[in-house]
Amino acid sequence: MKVQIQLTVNGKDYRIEVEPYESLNTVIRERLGFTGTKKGCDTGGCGTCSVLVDGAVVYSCMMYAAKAHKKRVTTIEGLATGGRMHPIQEAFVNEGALQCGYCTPGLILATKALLDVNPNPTDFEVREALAGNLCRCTGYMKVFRAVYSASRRLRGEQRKATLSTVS
Amino acid sequence: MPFFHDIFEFGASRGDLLQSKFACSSCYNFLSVKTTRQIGVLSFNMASFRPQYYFRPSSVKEAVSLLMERKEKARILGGGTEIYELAQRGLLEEVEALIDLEDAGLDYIKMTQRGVKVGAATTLTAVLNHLALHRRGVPLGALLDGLKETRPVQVRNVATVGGCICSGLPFFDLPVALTALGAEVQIAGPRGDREVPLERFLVDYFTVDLREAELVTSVQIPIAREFASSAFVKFALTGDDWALVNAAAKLVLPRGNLCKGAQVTIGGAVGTKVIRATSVEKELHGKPITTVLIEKAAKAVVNDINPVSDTRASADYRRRLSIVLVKRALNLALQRARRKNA
Repeated sequence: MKVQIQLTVNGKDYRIEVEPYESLNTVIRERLGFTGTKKGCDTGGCGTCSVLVDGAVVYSCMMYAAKAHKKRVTTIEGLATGGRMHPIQEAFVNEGALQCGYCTPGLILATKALLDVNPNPTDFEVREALAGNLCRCTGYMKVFRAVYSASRRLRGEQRKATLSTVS
Repeated sequence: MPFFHDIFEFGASRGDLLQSKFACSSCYNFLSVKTTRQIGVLSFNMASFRPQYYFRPSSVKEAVSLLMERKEKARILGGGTEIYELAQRGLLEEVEALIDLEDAGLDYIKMTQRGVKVGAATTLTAVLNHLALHRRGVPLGALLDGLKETRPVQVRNVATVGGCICSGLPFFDLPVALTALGAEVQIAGPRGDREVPLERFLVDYFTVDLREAELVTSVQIPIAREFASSAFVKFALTGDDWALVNAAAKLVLPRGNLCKGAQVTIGGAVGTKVIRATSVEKELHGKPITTVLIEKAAKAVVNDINPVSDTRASADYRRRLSIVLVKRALNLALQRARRKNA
Protein backbone atom coordinates (compact mmCIF):
# COMPACT_ATOMS: atom_id res chain seq x y z
CA MET A 1 0.00 0.00 0.00
CA LYS A 2 1.58 3.22 -1.08
CA VAL A 3 1.06 6.10 1.31
CA GLN A 4 0.03 9.44 -0.15
CA ILE A 5 1.90 12.25 1.49
CA GLN A 6 1.98 15.99 1.09
CA LEU A 7 5.07 17.76 2.21
CA THR A 8 6.82 21.05 1.67
CA VAL A 9 10.48 20.87 0.77
CA ASN A 10 12.46 24.10 0.60
CA GLY A 11 9.26 26.08 0.31
CA LYS A 12 7.72 24.03 -2.49
CA ASP A 13 4.79 21.64 -2.04
CA TYR A 14 5.05 18.07 -3.19
CA ARG A 15 2.41 15.36 -3.37
CA ILE A 16 4.01 11.96 -3.65
CA GLU A 17 3.45 8.29 -2.94
CA VAL A 18 5.86 6.48 -0.66
CA GLU A 19 6.21 2.96 0.68
CA PRO A 20 5.65 2.59 4.44
CA TYR A 21 9.23 1.42 4.88
CA GLU A 22 10.90 4.16 2.89
CA SER A 23 12.97 6.64 4.84
CA LEU A 24 12.70 10.38 4.36
CA ASN A 25 16.32 10.25 3.24
CA THR A 26 15.51 7.94 0.35
CA VAL A 27 12.58 10.09 -0.71
CA ILE A 28 14.55 13.35 -0.53
CA ARG A 29 17.48 12.00 -2.50
CA GLU A 30 15.99 9.55 -4.94
CA ARG A 31 12.46 10.72 -5.42
CA LEU A 32 12.87 14.47 -5.17
CA GLY A 33 16.46 14.72 -6.35
CA PHE A 34 17.89 16.73 -3.45
CA THR A 35 21.22 14.99 -3.25
CA GLY A 36 22.80 17.65 -1.04
CA THR A 37 21.47 15.50 1.79
CA LYS A 38 23.72 12.46 2.03
CA LYS A 39 23.23 8.84 2.94
CA GLY A 40 26.25 8.04 5.10
CA CYS A 41 25.89 5.35 7.72
CA ASP A 42 22.15 4.98 7.23
CA THR A 43 21.93 3.96 10.88
CA GLY A 44 21.48 7.23 12.69
CA GLY A 45 25.06 7.84 13.72
CA CYS A 46 26.98 10.08 11.33
CA GLY A 47 24.64 13.01 10.71
CA THR A 48 25.24 13.40 6.97
CA CYS A 49 21.54 12.76 6.41
CA SER A 50 20.50 15.65 8.69
CA VAL A 51 17.64 17.82 7.46
CA LEU A 52 15.31 20.25 9.18
CA VAL A 53 11.73 19.11 9.73
CA ASP A 54 9.54 21.94 11.02
CA GLY A 55 12.74 23.72 12.03
CA ALA A 56 14.16 20.88 14.10
CA VAL A 57 17.19 18.94 12.91
CA VAL A 58 16.55 15.23 12.43
CA TYR A 59 18.25 12.19 10.93
CA SER A 60 16.34 11.70 7.70
CA CYS A 61 17.70 8.16 7.42
CA MET A 62 15.79 7.13 10.54
CA MET A 63 12.56 8.95 9.83
CA TYR A 64 9.94 7.12 7.85
CA ALA A 65 8.89 9.28 4.91
CA ALA A 66 5.23 8.75 5.81
CA LYS A 67 5.86 10.65 9.04
CA ALA A 68 6.80 13.73 7.02
CA HIS A 69 3.19 14.16 5.88
CA LYS A 70 2.11 17.83 6.25
CA LYS A 71 5.54 18.83 7.50
CA ARG A 72 8.02 21.44 6.26
CA VAL A 73 11.37 20.03 5.30
CA THR A 74 14.48 22.11 4.67
CA THR A 75 17.49 20.58 2.96
CA ILE A 76 20.83 22.27 2.31
CA GLU A 77 19.53 23.32 -1.10
CA GLY A 78 16.94 25.44 0.66
CA LEU A 79 19.37 27.74 2.43
CA ALA A 80 20.69 29.95 -0.32
CA THR A 81 18.21 32.54 -1.56
CA GLY A 82 18.27 34.41 -4.86
CA GLY A 83 21.63 32.91 -5.70
CA ARG A 84 23.20 34.22 -2.49
CA MET A 85 24.63 31.90 0.13
CA HIS A 86 23.15 31.88 3.60
CA PRO A 87 25.46 33.53 6.18
CA ILE A 88 26.12 30.13 7.72
CA GLN A 89 27.25 28.76 4.38
CA GLU A 90 29.48 31.79 3.82
CA ALA A 91 30.99 31.41 7.25
CA PHE A 92 31.83 27.75 6.61
CA VAL A 93 33.50 28.67 3.34
CA ASN A 94 35.42 31.63 4.73
CA GLU A 95 36.63 29.83 7.82
CA GLY A 96 37.77 26.81 5.83
CA ALA A 97 35.38 24.64 7.82
CA LEU A 98 35.14 21.97 5.16
CA GLN A 99 37.49 19.74 3.19
CA CYS A 100 35.76 16.86 1.45
CA GLY A 101 32.42 18.51 2.15
CA TYR A 102 30.49 15.33 2.82
CA CYS A 103 29.48 16.21 6.38
CA THR A 104 28.98 19.87 5.53
CA PRO A 105 25.30 19.97 4.56
CA GLY A 106 24.40 18.19 7.78
CA LEU A 107 26.64 20.40 9.90
CA ILE A 108 25.26 23.57 8.33
CA LEU A 109 21.68 22.49 8.94
CA ALA A 110 22.46 21.50 12.52
CA THR A 111 24.05 24.94 12.94
CA LYS A 112 20.98 26.63 11.52
CA ALA A 113 18.73 24.68 13.88
CA LEU A 114 20.91 25.88 16.79
CA LEU A 115 21.19 29.54 15.80
CA ASP A 116 17.50 29.80 14.98
CA VAL A 117 16.62 29.21 18.63
CA ASN A 118 19.86 30.20 20.35
CA PRO A 119 21.48 33.15 18.58
CA ASN A 120 24.33 33.45 21.08
CA PRO A 121 25.34 29.93 22.06
CA THR A 122 28.09 29.06 24.48
CA ASP A 123 30.88 26.72 23.51
CA PHE A 124 29.13 23.91 25.37
CA GLU A 125 25.84 24.59 23.57
CA VAL A 126 27.55 24.54 20.17
CA ARG A 127 29.19 21.21 20.92
CA GLU A 128 25.92 19.75 22.15
CA ALA A 129 24.08 20.96 19.05
CA LEU A 130 26.64 19.51 16.67
CA ALA A 131 27.30 16.29 18.61
CA GLY A 132 25.27 14.32 16.09
CA ASN A 133 27.36 15.33 13.09
CA LEU A 134 30.67 13.59 12.58
CA CYS A 135 33.52 15.05 10.52
CA ARG A 136 36.61 13.08 9.62
CA CYS A 137 38.50 15.88 7.89
CA THR A 138 38.52 19.13 9.80
CA GLY A 139 38.99 18.25 13.45
CA TYR A 140 35.99 20.50 14.19
CA MET A 141 37.87 23.63 15.33
CA LYS A 142 37.21 25.54 12.12
CA VAL A 143 33.65 24.33 12.19
CA PHE A 144 33.19 25.94 15.60
CA ARG A 145 34.80 29.16 14.33
CA ALA A 146 32.37 29.17 11.44
CA VAL A 147 29.47 28.76 13.85
CA TYR A 148 30.63 31.70 15.99
CA SER A 149 31.30 33.84 12.93
CA ALA A 150 27.86 33.07 11.53
CA SER A 151 26.22 33.77 14.87
CA ARG A 152 27.91 37.17 15.11
CA ARG A 153 26.84 38.02 11.58
CA LEU A 154 23.27 36.90 12.18
CA ARG A 155 23.13 38.96 15.35
CA GLY A 156 24.18 41.96 13.33
CA GLU A 157 27.51 42.36 15.07
CA GLN A 158 29.30 41.83 11.81
CA ARG A 159 28.05 43.49 8.71
CA LYS A 160 29.51 41.16 6.17
CA ALA A 161 31.36 37.89 5.99
CA THR A 162 34.94 38.30 7.12
CA LEU A 163 37.76 35.95 7.82
CA SER A 164 38.10 35.69 11.55
CA THR A 165 41.22 34.54 13.31
CA VAL A 166 39.78 34.12 16.74
CA SER A 167 36.65 32.29 17.82
CA MET B 1 22.82 5.92 17.44
CA PRO B 2 26.39 5.37 16.26
CA PHE B 3 26.57 2.76 13.58
CA PHE B 4 29.65 1.16 15.00
CA HIS B 5 27.90 0.09 18.15
CA ASP B 6 25.94 -3.07 17.77
CA ILE B 7 23.33 -3.26 20.45
CA PHE B 8 23.22 -7.00 20.12
CA GLU B 9 26.79 -7.66 21.07
CA PHE B 10 25.51 -7.04 24.55
CA GLY B 11 22.83 -9.70 24.26
CA ALA B 12 25.12 -12.15 22.54
CA SER B 13 27.61 -12.04 25.38
CA ARG B 14 25.08 -13.34 27.85
CA GLY B 15 24.65 -17.08 27.60
CA ASP B 16 21.28 -16.95 29.33
CA LEU B 17 19.77 -15.09 26.40
CA LEU B 18 20.42 -17.74 23.80
CA GLN B 19 16.76 -18.60 23.58
CA SER B 20 14.61 -15.60 24.25
CA LYS B 21 11.32 -14.04 23.48
CA PHE B 22 11.33 -10.32 23.34
CA ALA B 23 9.20 -7.34 22.56
CA CYS B 24 10.60 -4.87 20.11
CA SER B 25 10.80 -1.24 21.00
CA SER B 26 7.82 0.87 20.08
CA CYS B 27 6.04 -2.37 19.38
CA TYR B 28 3.89 -4.29 21.64
CA ASN B 29 3.90 -7.99 20.91
CA PHE B 30 6.33 -10.76 21.62
CA LEU B 31 8.34 -12.46 18.94
CA SER B 32 10.78 -15.27 19.43
CA VAL B 33 14.37 -15.13 18.37
CA LYS B 34 16.30 -18.22 17.37
CA THR B 35 19.57 -17.33 19.03
CA THR B 36 21.12 -14.04 19.96
CA ARG B 37 24.32 -15.24 18.36
CA GLN B 38 22.60 -15.28 15.02
CA ILE B 39 21.35 -11.78 15.41
CA GLY B 40 24.55 -10.65 17.12
CA VAL B 41 26.28 -10.32 13.77
CA LEU B 42 26.19 -6.88 12.22
CA SER B 43 23.85 -7.80 9.44
CA PHE B 44 22.34 -4.69 8.00
CA ASN B 45 19.65 -6.19 5.94
CA MET B 46 17.13 -3.51 5.17
CA ALA B 47 15.73 -5.51 2.28
CA SER B 48 13.78 -7.79 4.60
CA PHE B 49 11.78 -5.04 6.33
CA ARG B 50 8.87 -4.44 4.03
CA PRO B 51 5.67 -3.41 5.82
CA GLN B 52 2.91 -2.89 3.31
CA TYR B 53 0.59 -0.83 5.47
CA TYR B 54 0.91 2.45 7.32
CA PHE B 55 -1.84 3.77 9.54
CA ARG B 56 -2.31 6.99 11.49
CA PRO B 57 -5.16 6.30 13.89
CA SER B 58 -6.76 9.43 15.29
CA SER B 59 -7.46 7.88 18.69
CA VAL B 60 -6.12 5.32 21.10
CA LYS B 61 -9.25 3.21 20.57
CA GLU B 62 -8.54 3.07 16.85
CA ALA B 63 -4.92 2.13 17.52
CA VAL B 64 -6.02 -0.73 19.78
CA SER B 65 -8.44 -1.99 17.09
CA LEU B 66 -5.69 -1.96 14.53
CA LEU B 67 -3.44 -3.92 16.86
CA MET B 68 -6.19 -6.45 17.53
CA GLU B 69 -6.71 -6.87 13.82
CA ARG B 70 -3.07 -7.19 12.85
CA LYS B 71 -1.62 -8.84 15.95
CA GLU B 72 2.11 -9.66 15.69
CA LYS B 73 2.31 -8.33 12.18
CA ALA B 74 1.87 -4.74 13.37
CA ARG B 75 4.24 -2.40 15.16
CA ILE B 76 3.49 0.85 16.89
CA LEU B 77 5.53 3.74 15.53
CA GLY B 78 6.62 6.48 17.93
CA GLY B 79 9.55 8.37 16.49
CA GLY B 80 10.54 5.29 14.58
CA THR B 81 14.22 5.43 15.44
CA GLU B 82 14.31 2.18 17.38
CA ILE B 83 12.13 0.39 14.83
CA TYR B 84 14.59 1.56 12.21
CA GLU B 85 17.54 0.13 14.12
CA LEU B 86 15.84 -3.22 14.61
CA ALA B 87 14.73 -3.37 10.98
CA GLN B 88 18.31 -2.65 9.93
CA ARG B 89 19.40 -5.76 11.80
CA GLY B 90 16.81 -7.92 10.11
CA LEU B 91 14.67 -8.39 13.22
CA LEU B 92 11.38 -7.11 11.90
CA GLU B 93 10.98 -9.19 8.80
CA GLU B 94 7.45 -10.27 9.56
CA VAL B 95 6.10 -6.76 10.20
CA GLU B 96 3.32 -5.91 7.80
CA ALA B 97 1.86 -2.76 9.29
CA LEU B 98 3.16 0.36 11.00
CA ILE B 99 0.76 2.17 13.32
CA ASP B 100 1.89 5.76 13.77
CA LEU B 101 0.67 7.38 17.00
CA GLU B 102 1.37 10.94 15.90
CA ASP B 103 -2.30 11.93 15.55
CA ALA B 104 -3.73 9.74 18.30
CA GLY B 105 -3.83 12.51 20.91
CA LEU B 106 -0.84 11.25 22.86
CA ASP B 107 1.41 14.27 22.42
CA TYR B 108 1.04 16.22 25.65
CA ILE B 109 2.65 17.21 28.93
CA LYS B 110 0.26 17.87 31.78
CA MET B 111 1.09 19.07 35.26
CA THR B 112 -1.41 17.21 37.43
CA GLN B 113 -2.10 16.95 41.15
CA ARG B 114 -0.07 13.76 41.28
CA GLY B 115 2.84 15.18 39.33
CA VAL B 116 3.55 15.20 35.63
CA LYS B 117 1.80 13.15 32.99
CA VAL B 118 3.49 12.79 29.61
CA GLY B 119 1.76 11.31 26.56
CA ALA B 120 3.54 8.39 24.91
CA ALA B 121 3.92 10.18 21.58
CA THR B 122 5.62 13.23 23.08
CA THR B 123 9.13 13.77 21.75
CA LEU B 124 12.06 13.92 24.17
CA THR B 125 12.81 17.47 23.01
CA ALA B 126 9.27 18.61 23.77
CA VAL B 127 9.60 17.32 27.33
CA LEU B 128 13.06 18.84 27.75
CA ASN B 129 11.85 22.22 26.53
CA HIS B 130 8.74 22.30 28.70
CA LEU B 131 9.28 25.30 30.93
CA ALA B 132 6.89 24.24 33.67
CA LEU B 133 9.03 21.16 34.24
CA HIS B 134 12.11 23.27 34.71
CA ARG B 135 10.23 25.44 37.16
CA ARG B 136 9.33 22.37 39.22
CA GLY B 137 13.08 22.03 39.46
CA VAL B 138 14.85 19.84 41.89
CA PRO B 139 12.44 16.89 42.31
CA LEU B 140 12.50 16.36 38.54
CA GLY B 141 16.25 16.83 38.19
CA ALA B 142 16.78 13.22 37.11
CA LEU B 143 14.19 13.53 34.32
CA LEU B 144 15.81 16.63 32.83
CA ASP B 145 19.32 15.18 33.20
CA GLY B 146 18.24 11.94 31.54
CA LEU B 147 16.76 13.83 28.60
CA LYS B 148 19.83 16.04 28.21
CA GLU B 149 22.12 13.04 28.18
CA THR B 150 20.16 11.33 25.41
CA ARG B 151 22.09 12.48 22.38
CA PRO B 152 22.26 13.63 19.73
CA VAL B 153 19.66 16.34 19.27
CA GLN B 154 18.57 14.71 16.01
CA VAL B 155 17.35 11.69 17.93
CA ARG B 156 15.75 13.71 20.75
CA ASN B 157 13.72 15.63 18.20
CA VAL B 158 11.91 12.52 16.95
CA ALA B 159 12.23 9.88 19.65
CA THR B 160 9.16 9.59 21.88
CA VAL B 161 8.78 8.90 25.58
CA GLY B 162 6.64 5.83 24.83
CA GLY B 163 9.07 4.41 22.34
CA CYS B 164 11.97 5.00 24.68
CA ILE B 165 10.53 3.12 27.63
CA CYS B 166 9.18 0.30 25.46
CA SER B 167 12.58 -0.39 23.98
CA GLY B 168 13.43 -2.77 26.80
CA LEU B 169 17.07 -1.76 26.48
CA PRO B 170 18.89 -1.24 29.77
CA PHE B 171 21.36 1.29 28.40
CA PHE B 172 18.77 3.87 27.44
CA ASP B 173 18.77 6.91 29.69
CA LEU B 174 15.17 7.96 30.23
CA PRO B 175 14.01 4.61 31.71
CA VAL B 176 16.81 4.68 34.30
CA ALA B 177 15.92 8.24 35.31
CA LEU B 178 12.17 7.59 35.38
CA THR B 179 12.47 4.40 37.42
CA ALA B 180 14.36 6.29 40.13
CA LEU B 181 11.53 8.83 40.12
CA GLY B 182 8.93 6.12 40.66
CA ALA B 183 7.21 6.66 37.33
CA GLU B 184 4.09 4.73 36.38
CA VAL B 185 3.04 3.56 32.95
CA GLN B 186 -0.52 3.88 31.68
CA ILE B 187 -1.54 1.20 29.20
CA ALA B 188 -4.59 0.84 26.96
CA GLY B 189 -5.79 -2.44 25.49
CA PRO B 190 -8.71 -4.56 24.39
CA ARG B 191 -9.58 -5.36 28.01
CA GLY B 192 -9.43 -1.75 29.14
CA ASP B 193 -6.81 0.45 30.76
CA ARG B 194 -4.30 -0.45 33.42
CA GLU B 195 -1.36 1.08 35.21
CA VAL B 196 1.98 -0.51 36.04
CA PRO B 197 4.96 0.93 37.94
CA LEU B 198 7.75 1.44 35.41
CA GLU B 199 10.02 -0.72 37.50
CA ARG B 200 7.70 -3.69 36.95
CA PHE B 201 6.95 -2.72 33.36
CA LEU B 202 10.60 -3.21 32.41
CA VAL B 203 10.70 -6.97 32.66
CA ASP B 204 13.91 -7.97 30.94
CA TYR B 205 16.16 -7.35 27.98
CA PHE B 206 13.84 -6.42 25.12
CA THR B 207 10.87 -7.42 27.23
CA VAL B 208 8.21 -5.13 28.63
CA ASP B 209 4.89 -5.86 30.26
CA LEU B 210 2.64 -5.41 27.30
CA ARG B 211 0.06 -8.00 26.37
CA GLU B 212 -1.59 -8.62 23.05
CA ALA B 213 -2.90 -5.47 21.36
CA GLU B 214 -1.82 -3.21 24.20
CA LEU B 215 0.02 0.05 23.89
CA VAL B 216 1.49 2.57 26.29
CA THR B 217 -0.54 5.78 26.32
CA SER B 218 1.34 7.82 28.90
CA VAL B 219 3.83 7.93 31.74
CA GLN B 220 3.05 9.55 35.07
CA ILE B 221 5.88 10.94 37.19
CA PRO B 222 4.82 11.53 40.80
CA ILE B 223 5.88 14.61 42.70
CA ALA B 224 5.26 13.98 46.37
CA ARG B 225 4.44 16.72 48.84
CA GLU B 226 7.55 15.78 50.80
CA PHE B 227 10.65 17.45 49.50
CA ALA B 228 12.74 15.29 47.19
CA SER B 229 15.76 15.89 45.06
CA SER B 230 17.00 13.81 42.15
CA ALA B 231 19.80 13.49 39.61
CA PHE B 232 20.91 11.29 36.73
CA VAL B 233 24.45 10.73 35.45
CA LYS B 234 25.83 8.87 32.47
CA PHE B 235 29.19 7.68 31.30
CA ALA B 236 29.70 6.99 27.60
CA LEU B 237 32.78 6.65 25.45
CA THR B 238 31.82 9.43 23.06
CA GLY B 239 29.48 12.37 23.06
CA ASP B 240 26.67 10.57 21.30
CA ASP B 241 27.10 6.96 22.40
CA TRP B 242 24.91 4.82 24.60
CA ALA B 243 25.84 4.59 28.26
CA LEU B 244 28.49 2.18 29.43
CA VAL B 245 26.83 2.71 32.76
CA ASN B 246 24.23 5.24 33.85
CA ALA B 247 22.69 5.89 37.24
CA ALA B 248 19.95 7.93 38.86
CA ALA B 249 19.10 8.80 42.43
CA LYS B 250 16.14 10.32 44.20
CA LEU B 251 16.48 11.37 47.83
CA VAL B 252 13.44 12.16 49.95
CA LEU B 253 14.63 14.72 52.48
CA PRO B 254 11.63 16.27 54.24
CA ARG B 255 13.69 17.68 57.10
CA GLY B 256 17.28 18.81 56.67
CA ASN B 257 19.40 15.95 55.46
CA LEU B 258 17.67 13.07 57.17
CA CYS B 259 16.94 10.60 54.41
CA LYS B 260 13.38 9.35 54.57
CA GLY B 261 13.79 7.31 51.43
CA ALA B 262 16.15 6.80 48.54
CA GLN B 263 15.57 5.35 45.11
CA VAL B 264 18.73 4.52 43.23
CA THR B 265 18.75 2.95 39.79
CA ILE B 266 21.53 1.82 37.56
CA GLY B 267 21.57 0.89 33.88
CA GLY B 268 23.90 0.31 30.99
CA ALA B 269 25.45 -3.08 30.48
CA VAL B 270 25.28 -3.99 34.16
CA GLY B 271 22.21 -6.14 33.87
CA THR B 272 19.50 -7.15 31.45
CA LYS B 273 17.20 -4.37 32.59
CA VAL B 274 17.17 -1.22 34.70
CA ILE B 275 18.26 -2.23 38.19
CA ARG B 276 17.14 -0.86 41.54
CA ALA B 277 20.26 -0.61 43.65
CA THR B 278 18.52 -1.74 46.84
CA SER B 279 21.83 -2.46 48.58
CA VAL B 280 22.73 1.18 48.23
CA GLU B 281 19.28 2.35 49.30
CA LYS B 282 19.45 0.28 52.49
CA GLU B 283 22.61 2.11 53.54
CA LEU B 284 20.84 5.45 53.25
CA HIS B 285 17.36 4.97 54.67
CA GLY B 286 16.70 6.79 57.91
CA LYS B 287 20.18 8.24 58.14
CA PRO B 288 21.46 11.80 57.80
CA ILE B 289 22.91 12.01 54.30
CA THR B 290 26.49 13.16 54.11
CA THR B 291 29.12 12.78 51.42
CA VAL B 292 30.89 10.34 53.72
CA LEU B 293 27.80 8.14 53.93
CA ILE B 294 27.32 8.36 50.18
CA GLU B 295 30.91 7.23 49.63
CA LYS B 296 30.24 4.17 51.75
CA ALA B 297 26.78 3.43 50.38
CA ALA B 298 27.82 3.66 46.73
CA LYS B 299 30.23 0.75 47.18
CA ALA B 300 27.27 -1.51 47.94
CA VAL B 301 26.05 -1.26 44.33
CA VAL B 302 28.28 -4.16 43.34
CA ASN B 303 25.85 -6.46 45.13
CA ASP B 304 23.02 -5.43 42.82
CA ILE B 305 24.65 -5.63 39.42
CA ASN B 306 25.86 -8.28 37.03
CA PRO B 307 27.99 -6.42 34.50
CA VAL B 308 29.14 -7.85 31.19
CA SER B 309 32.45 -7.61 29.40
CA ASP B 310 32.15 -6.49 25.80
CA THR B 311 34.03 -4.41 23.26
CA ARG B 312 33.29 -1.21 25.15
CA ALA B 313 34.51 -2.24 28.59
CA SER B 314 35.25 -5.15 30.88
CA ALA B 315 32.88 -6.22 33.63
CA ASP B 316 35.42 -5.12 36.19
CA TYR B 317 35.62 -1.65 34.65
CA ARG B 318 31.85 -1.40 34.71
CA ARG B 319 31.78 -2.50 38.32
CA ARG B 320 34.18 0.28 39.31
CA LEU B 321 32.33 2.75 37.12
CA SER B 322 29.03 1.84 38.77
CA ILE B 323 30.36 2.81 42.19
CA VAL B 324 31.57 6.15 40.86
CA LEU B 325 28.35 6.96 39.04
CA VAL B 326 26.09 6.02 41.95
CA LYS B 327 28.23 8.25 44.16
CA ARG B 328 27.99 11.10 41.66
CA ALA B 329 24.24 10.79 41.26
CA LEU B 330 23.72 10.81 45.03
CA ASN B 331 26.10 13.72 45.57
CA LEU B 332 24.43 15.74 42.83
CA ALA B 333 20.99 15.08 44.30
CA LEU B 334 22.27 16.09 47.73
CA GLN B 335 23.91 19.27 46.40
CA ARG B 336 20.69 20.26 44.69
CA ALA B 337 18.72 19.68 47.88
CA ARG B 338 21.15 21.79 49.89
CA ARG B 339 21.07 24.63 47.37
CA LYS B 340 17.30 24.58 47.39
CA ASN B 341 17.09 24.65 51.17
CA ALA B 342 19.88 27.16 51.64
